[in-house]
Amino acid sequence: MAEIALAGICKTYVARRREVRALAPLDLTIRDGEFVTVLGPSGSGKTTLLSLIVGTIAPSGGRILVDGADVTYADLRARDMAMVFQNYALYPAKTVRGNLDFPLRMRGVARAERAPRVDAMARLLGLTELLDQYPRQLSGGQQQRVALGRALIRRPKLFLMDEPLSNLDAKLRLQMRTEIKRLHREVPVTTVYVTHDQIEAMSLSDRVVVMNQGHVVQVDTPEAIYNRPADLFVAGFVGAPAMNMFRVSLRSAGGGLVCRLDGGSAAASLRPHPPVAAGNGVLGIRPKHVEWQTQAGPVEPPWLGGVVREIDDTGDDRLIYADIGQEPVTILETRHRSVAVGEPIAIRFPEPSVHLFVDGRRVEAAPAPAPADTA
Amino acid sequence: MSGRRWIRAIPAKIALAFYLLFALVPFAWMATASLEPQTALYRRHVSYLPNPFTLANYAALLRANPIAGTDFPRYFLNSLIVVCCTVVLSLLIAVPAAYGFSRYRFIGKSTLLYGILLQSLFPLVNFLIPLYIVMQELGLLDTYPSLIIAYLTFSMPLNIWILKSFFDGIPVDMEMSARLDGAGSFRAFVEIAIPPAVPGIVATAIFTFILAWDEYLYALTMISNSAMRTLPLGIFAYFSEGVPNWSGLTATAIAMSIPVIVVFLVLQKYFIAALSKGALKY
Repeated sequence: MAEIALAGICKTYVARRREVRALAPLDLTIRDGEFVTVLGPSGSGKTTLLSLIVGTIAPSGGRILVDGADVTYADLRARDMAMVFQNYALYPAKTVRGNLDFPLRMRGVARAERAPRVDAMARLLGLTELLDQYPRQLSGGQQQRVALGRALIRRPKLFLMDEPLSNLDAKLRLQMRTEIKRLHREVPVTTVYVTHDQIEAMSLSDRVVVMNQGHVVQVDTPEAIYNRPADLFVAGFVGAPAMNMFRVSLRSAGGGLVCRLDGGSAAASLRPHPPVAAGNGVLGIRPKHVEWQTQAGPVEPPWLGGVVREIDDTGDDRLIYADIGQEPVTILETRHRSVAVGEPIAIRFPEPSVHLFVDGRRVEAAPAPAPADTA
Repeated sequence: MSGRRWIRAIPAKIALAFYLLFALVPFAWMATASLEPQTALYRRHVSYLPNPFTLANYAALLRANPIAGTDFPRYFLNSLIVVCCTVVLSLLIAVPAAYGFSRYRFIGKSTLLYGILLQSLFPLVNFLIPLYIVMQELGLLDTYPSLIIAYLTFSMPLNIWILKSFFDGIPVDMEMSARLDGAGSFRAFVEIAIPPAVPGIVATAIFTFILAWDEYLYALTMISNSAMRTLPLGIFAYFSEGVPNWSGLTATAIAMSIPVIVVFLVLQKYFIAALSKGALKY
């Protein structure tokens, strides 16, 4: 176990005499025993980051420190890291026992000590019955467990996982997610976990590193990523169904800012801190925070008039797609109130739940008392 | 459903049956001839079965015939030594070379790779005289190494290319994982990368075996001492008399094809695996 520090690490490829930046300079310290997830869409540089840490590619600049020791250009075996690959990379010619034993044998662990450690790891992962089978005889979930066991058996300083659950079906993925969580509790090795699945990132990590186009856009706890996304990208990427976003004009009124939709109706009154000048911004609100009610007559502020366009019932909850004028809005209905397509409804964005973005960046804003609407 | 599919396959099956007949009839004719006395070949009526049946032609193969100047056991041994050395040496060099070409980047890599390919694009005859002169200068004419070296020059390029594509198809993640687990790059190659490549290695071994086993032109050029003859040269000894010794010739030809058939039957599982998932399908 160890603390990993990345100091200005970056990677630039040269392709056809043009420089392509795969990873912008990045500073990040991963604490001893911490579980850090690198989250981003494909092409965001997260696999580049992982390959740099593990040493399969050399960085263009910066340093990697493991417990203070510089391993930036160290040989793969000298780094004392272990990795679970997306395709598991089990050794096909070896049994499960042979796969688990290999890292110990390579590190010169005595034969008498190896067998009990293999047995203990097999017990921990429920592989005892399968020790004499070959990888091709195992199911996807079992192969995954062997890969986890092989990586963890010699207690590496750093444990890396590259989209380990992406080859499993949905049910097994949930099961293995829980398994990985349990494993990390029982064997608390410093872990870097790469994924494009925000649910995995939210449920597994102590901290999430969100990446986009080679840049780290936010490093925070899962709660903070979800509740205070740093910019429009994080806001849109994290959370399913995705956050509703509206272009708004910001006009100061009564010590606060009134956010008006393109149609002109006031959607929220906020008091940004630090204050921002009047202008344009983006208003975000998660589908579960949107309030609505059926509406027969005219709509009174702060309510906005809308029409139900589509209803998506998933069993557990219901998604209502509505339009406020030209603007589409998604509402997560958890109370099982029913509504029909085409029915008019009144919609409200409660100020404590809205997010304000100016120039793409998040602006902290408190609710402001609504001034008299003059529109 | 399966019945209809079976019916649809009938034309293909008929075509294949004809092809099989076309390929096997001469072989069957040869087998028949090898099992009857030479005089039976000159009878007027056609007999599809050996008549009269005799194993005398094969029995004659078991010992040297100084009068006729043939020595099947000796030729067989010569062939076996040359071919086995060629196969082993070819793999010992081609497997690591192919792995290197597949996994590493180095200056001059594609030049080397295409240079190798270019060499195998020329007709083999082009290299006959240069190689003969080289062997003469080295004093290797009439020795096993002259043939082994000659066979390596044309089996190795092909083997390197086939095996390279085979290694290309094996995910590099396994070796990376082994390196992280603490293995050196040589051990990652031997213990992790080679086992999944075994079908490809066996397939190239079979190719090389057949290539060298049948080779005539180079053997004819390099070997003049009758004690050093390989089997393809040995067969031609039967033509040296006035009337060809058809019985001896056919028996030798059949006996010569037995090792190839045995090698193929024993290893066909690997061969088919290589054909179905390896480089050869491209």
